[in-house]
Amino acid sequence: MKGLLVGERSSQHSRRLGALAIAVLVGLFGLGTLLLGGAASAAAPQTITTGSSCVTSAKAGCVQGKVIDENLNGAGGIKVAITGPAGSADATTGDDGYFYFKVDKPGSYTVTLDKASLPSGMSATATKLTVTASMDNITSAGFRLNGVFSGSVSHKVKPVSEARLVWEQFSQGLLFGLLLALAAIGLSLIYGTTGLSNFAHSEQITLGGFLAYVFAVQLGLNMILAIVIVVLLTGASGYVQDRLMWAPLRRKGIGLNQLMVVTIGLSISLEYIYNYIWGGTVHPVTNSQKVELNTGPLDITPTAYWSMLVSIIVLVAVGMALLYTRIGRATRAVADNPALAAASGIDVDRVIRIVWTVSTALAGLSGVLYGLVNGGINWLTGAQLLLLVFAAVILGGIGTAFGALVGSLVIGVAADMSTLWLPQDLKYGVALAVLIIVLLVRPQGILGRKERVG
Amino acid sequence: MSTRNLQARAIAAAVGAAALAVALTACGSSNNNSATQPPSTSAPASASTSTSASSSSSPSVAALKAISNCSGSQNSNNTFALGSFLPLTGSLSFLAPPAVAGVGAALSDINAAGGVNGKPACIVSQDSNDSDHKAQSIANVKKLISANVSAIVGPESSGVTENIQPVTDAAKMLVFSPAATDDALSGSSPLFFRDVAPNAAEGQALGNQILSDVPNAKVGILVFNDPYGLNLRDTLQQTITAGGGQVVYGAKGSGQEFPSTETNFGSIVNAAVAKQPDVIAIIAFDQTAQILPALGSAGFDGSKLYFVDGNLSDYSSTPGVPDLTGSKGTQQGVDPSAIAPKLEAWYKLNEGKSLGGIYNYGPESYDATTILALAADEAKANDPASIQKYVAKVTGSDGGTICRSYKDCLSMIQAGKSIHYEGPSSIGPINAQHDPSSAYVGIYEAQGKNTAAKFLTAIKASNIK
Repeated sequence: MKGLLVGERSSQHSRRLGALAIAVLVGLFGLGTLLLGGAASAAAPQTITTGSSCVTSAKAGCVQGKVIDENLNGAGGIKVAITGPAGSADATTGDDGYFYFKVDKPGSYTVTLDKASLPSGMSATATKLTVTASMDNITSAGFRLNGVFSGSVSHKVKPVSEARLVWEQFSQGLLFGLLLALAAIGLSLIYGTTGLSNFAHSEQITLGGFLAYVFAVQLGLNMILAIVIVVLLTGASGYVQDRLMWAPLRRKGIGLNQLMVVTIGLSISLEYIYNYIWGGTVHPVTNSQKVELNTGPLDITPTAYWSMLVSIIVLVAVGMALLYTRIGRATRAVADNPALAAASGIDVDRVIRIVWTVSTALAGLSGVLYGLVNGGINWLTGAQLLLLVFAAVILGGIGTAFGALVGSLVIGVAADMSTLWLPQDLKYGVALAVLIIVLLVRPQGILGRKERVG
Repeated sequence: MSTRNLQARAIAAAVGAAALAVALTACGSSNNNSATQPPSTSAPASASTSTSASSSSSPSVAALKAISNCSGSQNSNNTFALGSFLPLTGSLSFLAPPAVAGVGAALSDINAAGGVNGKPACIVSQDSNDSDHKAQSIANVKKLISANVSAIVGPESSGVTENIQPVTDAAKMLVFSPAATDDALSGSSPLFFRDVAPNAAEGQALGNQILSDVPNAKVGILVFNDPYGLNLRDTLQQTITAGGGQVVYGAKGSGQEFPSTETNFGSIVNAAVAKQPDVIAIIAFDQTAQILPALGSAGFDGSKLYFVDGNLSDYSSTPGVPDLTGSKGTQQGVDPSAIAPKLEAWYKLNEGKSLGGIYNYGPESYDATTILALAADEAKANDPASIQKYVAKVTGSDGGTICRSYKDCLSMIQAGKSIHYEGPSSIGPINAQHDPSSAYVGIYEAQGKNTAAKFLTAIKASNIK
């Protein structure tokens, strides 16, 4: 270590020599420009250079900035002067509005804006700035003007009132809730009919998003066609899963707890398979490069309106089907009492297979819509929604389609609106706190039936 | 959970470097202590990468050879056996290819110049995974330790570095990271070195750039709650407030950081835009691909956005992204385009694939490998303890004559001269904290609609302590 210290000193020494050499060089150069420029004062050699850029070094610091108007745009031809330990100099802003001074002495510098050089109609509140420059460093010293340069484009976003922001966050919550609901309903149906908490449901959501990436982005199919294909494929994945795995496991009489652990294992395996295939990055689910502006009463994008509409239609349709169709009634019968349902001639396995197919198809649809509204999907998107989806199902009342809808809306709105008053980090914590409170008051969930808890 | 999203620390940084092949020939090679910087702003981006090849030193691209894995009998007792510990899988896996190419190209150059201590060097490669997989990281680093390697290059994430440090310290194993930027790692262990600037340097560079562009800027910061993000936010905020600006959203203590697992940004962006910021700095990883469409929907001007190394990327295929022309970003390290052709060539030859324009931490990986090999030459031994003593020295901490390639430096060592290796990463000598005493932070600017940001200039962060 001692050797090291000595070495350091010697390196500093050589550095100092180098620095000296440069200083001399710069000095000479400065003198040269002085002589050429015929400046009056020979006492302080001018060692400030101006130009269209500035690069720092051990013997040079930059004092630079931009002269901008109210739209934050710069303009050329505005004069700026600097005075300080390294002397003084004048500069004119370039077309982009920037000026650069390269100074070779550290210390306090005053930068002055020449008011006379401003275009007519423009004024400046502050025309003098004192800044501290140091070597190998950039110091910013710009000016903001009142008024706008001719041809300057406005970058301002229209002001948002406090009340408007509350409304915006409410509508974001509605949107988020509806997307959650679409994912939640399948989870609720599977639980209702088989008693299984399917932790791998989240990966069905992710799968929907990735398949949309494959069909809509990679193969460039029309979005609606892509959605139809994704829904069919994710539905098929549920059918095959039940055929090859869940039905045999059920037949072997494996307990629900063991099965739940299987779903957790499946969930993790699938996550890493997605990671292996698609990597760790966010994948878009659409090819459209158009920027969609927030619009309409809810202040959300057109795609978001469509997604909400699709979500509502599908949820109502599933809810109605459960209530009024044969297969819906059979599903509810299986949910109530599988043995009795089987005894009364219902093909329980077939009902469960249909439930798996529909549930995974809905999860796939929710994955596509979530990706569309939120700018893409990654290998963990589903996993990050899983607990919220579970919470929505339990909150709304397990096994009811409308319950999943109500539960999801409560979770979505509570999460997004909480950010108005609470730290972002607590956003989902708030949603889950709502769950606990509701369950304390209504253990069966908001729309759940009293007699069949959980 | 937070670390899960180390996600893409650089996804980044795809550094747009791709397109950048700016003809910055001087870049990697022109600074001794008096030196002026790399290249200036105005060099037009030329499309061909070939122009910059001229600067890479010694063995030509064509001479790149495959490197061999260490055999059972090769270890630090008889060979310079380099342990490579890069994120081959996991959420940071996109960062591995340029680093693999950097390490590989360096070993090829080393072996072409006669190897280390007279014998060809060999490599043992293990997957570092990400900080979410601590058990796997530790198991794999233990494999490197039991293979008795000379030193480890990697990991690329600060989180993984922190996870394995107790193990590597206990085994007295030398670790040299080309990409771990967490400030807390400075001086964290006598056996840990890095050749990348800590985050603080980047926060300063970004803050100054914002204030240069918009005097007295009102800055909104969209930052995720992760050590990397908070660290960078804090130094950015300091620089902004000290320079007369203010942070109107996402300031320290505001509670406006978003969780790193967030995927739903509508309400966050609404809240930030409602504060009427002049500019918005996005400090995040891959979440940025989802933040940008939300900013576009909220009507925020894309040219008033600032990015960091974790998200400076090419968003041209991301849907709904506002026009980013004129947006800027920072990225540790020099412009990688000078060494890019060599990395591409190596990767093509050995992995049969293109790096796709992503060179993040490639120059730093190349230098980490070369520095370790030179330290072994200087030590005349291949074991970690001997190499450790000379790591700082070969980077010029004791002065010495500048040399820019392994071949040149090796012949100077053999002639008994003291060396100061300066490779493509252009870092200053390693300091007492085992950080580079100076390093570059590059400023990038997006030139066209949603194209990769072009290298603008590099700001030297010096006096890193």
